[in-house]
Amino acid sequence: MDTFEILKKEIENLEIKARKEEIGEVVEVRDGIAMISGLKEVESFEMIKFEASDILGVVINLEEDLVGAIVLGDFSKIKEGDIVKRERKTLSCPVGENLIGRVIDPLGNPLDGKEEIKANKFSPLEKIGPSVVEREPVNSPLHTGIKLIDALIPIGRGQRELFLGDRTTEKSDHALTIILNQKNEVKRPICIYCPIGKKESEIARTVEILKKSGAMDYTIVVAASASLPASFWYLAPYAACAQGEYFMEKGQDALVIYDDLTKHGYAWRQIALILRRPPGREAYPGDIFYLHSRLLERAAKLNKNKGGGSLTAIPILETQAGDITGYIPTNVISICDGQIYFDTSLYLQGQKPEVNIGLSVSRVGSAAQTKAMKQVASTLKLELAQFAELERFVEFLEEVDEETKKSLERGERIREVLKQEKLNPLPIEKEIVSIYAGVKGFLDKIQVKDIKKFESELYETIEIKKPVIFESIREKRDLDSSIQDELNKILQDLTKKYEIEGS
Amino acid sequence: MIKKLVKTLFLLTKEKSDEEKQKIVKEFLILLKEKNKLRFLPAILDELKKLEKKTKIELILARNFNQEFLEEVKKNIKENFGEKEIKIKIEPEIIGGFLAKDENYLVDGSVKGILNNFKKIIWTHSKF
Repeated sequence: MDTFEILKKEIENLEIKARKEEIGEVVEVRDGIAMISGLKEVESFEMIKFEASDILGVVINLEEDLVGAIVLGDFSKIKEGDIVKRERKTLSCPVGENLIGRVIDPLGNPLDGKEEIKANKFSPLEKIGPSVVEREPVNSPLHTGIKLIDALIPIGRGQRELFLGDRTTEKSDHALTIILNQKNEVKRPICIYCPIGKKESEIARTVEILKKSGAMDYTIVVAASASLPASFWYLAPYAACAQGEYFMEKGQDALVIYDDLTKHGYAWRQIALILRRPPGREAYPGDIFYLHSRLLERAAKLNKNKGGGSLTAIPILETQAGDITGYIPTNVISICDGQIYFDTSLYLQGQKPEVNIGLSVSRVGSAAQTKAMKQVASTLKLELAQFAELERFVEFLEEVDEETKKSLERGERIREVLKQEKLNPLPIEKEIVSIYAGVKGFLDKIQVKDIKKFESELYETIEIKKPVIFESIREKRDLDSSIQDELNKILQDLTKKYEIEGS
Repeated sequence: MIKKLVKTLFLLTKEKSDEEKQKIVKEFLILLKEKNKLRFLPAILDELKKLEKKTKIELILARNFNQEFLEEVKKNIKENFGEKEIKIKIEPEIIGGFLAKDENYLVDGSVKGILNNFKKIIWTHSKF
């Protein structure tokens, strides 16, 4: 049947009878909020529609005589006296495989200029996370492709790891590196990137990077750009979480990055203040903790009965002048399973990524590390901490004995081999080989400035002469003795070459 | 405080004759002046308007209809809203028919409403 026939049928079936509908009338319009009288039987968090301007809203406040709703659109188009009708459904967004590769707003409208989303399922934005019995402990790694993180602060699938740092640190780019690294991973997770309050140019740049490296084949972008009203900023993380939950419940893995939750807190503070909810510390409403905790509790590792899927969450927070004792940072640190603290001063000293290893922790730790990585990196954190202590101590000494000198040189080289450029993820086999070289002392005789060159030549050499090393680590996830022997031989030859050239 | 005042005033003047109503309102205004609260009059008027909206039904007609049609409409309103006072307003924008509205419910029997429904159907189908 062509469109005209369908239309004819629809119009014939149209009831020309006056039915009684539930309505409300707009009494007051504030910034992004409409106060409505009527709507006697509306439910909390139900969607409503402003008839005259065809804009949607969500009911947030149920007061004695009025209903407060946030406006999901341009609130300047809403006038006093406008009729409001119930949509009779809780706020939901389209989810599913059709969303992969798309850039959408929190309601599911496309922002990438392509066709409308045809979804097979609509998920509510607000949901209670999996219960205790549905979960199991985190046991498989999420490889970030960043040596320092995978070795010292490993992230597992189903964990919440907070990225914390000042505005000038490159937290977003490091989070992006994680998405780029998933391209060739086993059981690749679906990645969801949620920029909140970011400039549209920044979001466009990020999408371009994802497209160029082929990451859009497994990524969804749920964007609430700076020009969208606070209501969208508030809803975006929940929409992104709903996308991830779809895949988690199907037994797959998913990764969601909230960039960043500071702006999310600002948006909720704005809405709460306009709704006249009592302001608390730093003018945030009393439920600012619940705002973030209910979001992050939806990230989990499900047990086998529930499909064994997982949703890993990487919230990003902006600190002011490096103060991690602020209100929101302390809240979210206590919710997450660890934090990675990015320090601008380290960046200026040349350490990239600029992670403060002392203040960073992963509470899941080695339970989520591959066996091979555990072997090479088990004592790495302690060694680096001891090296840092030694460095500070030695500043006040004139002379150092042989042993201390050796420790200092080892530490310097390990630190150098852990350096890595941003947006440059390394597969797990390359990471392990690099750290192995550092920890087993093969770099001790090489000059620090040659280490980067050494590293790239090492990869090339293995790929050409003994690719079995990389293959074995990739497949078995283990560093057995035969592979170690092969690796030792290559490292010995290569170090000899650099020794001669260096001196 | 103003809400309580207005509610009391409303209850006092309910179902009283016009003469009695005038007397009560006059005494109310004198009392306001005595207590030096005349400045609350605008707020009191706003609250009264709101209360009127709550308790009365707004009936919007496209034009002046004959008595027969009006009775039909009033019967429909009694069915849907119960016994309540009706306030009539003429608004030619609705093109034809009527709209009966109280605070929480709406009965849309207007030509404009039907045409809007058509528009919605065509709109959803035009997305193909």
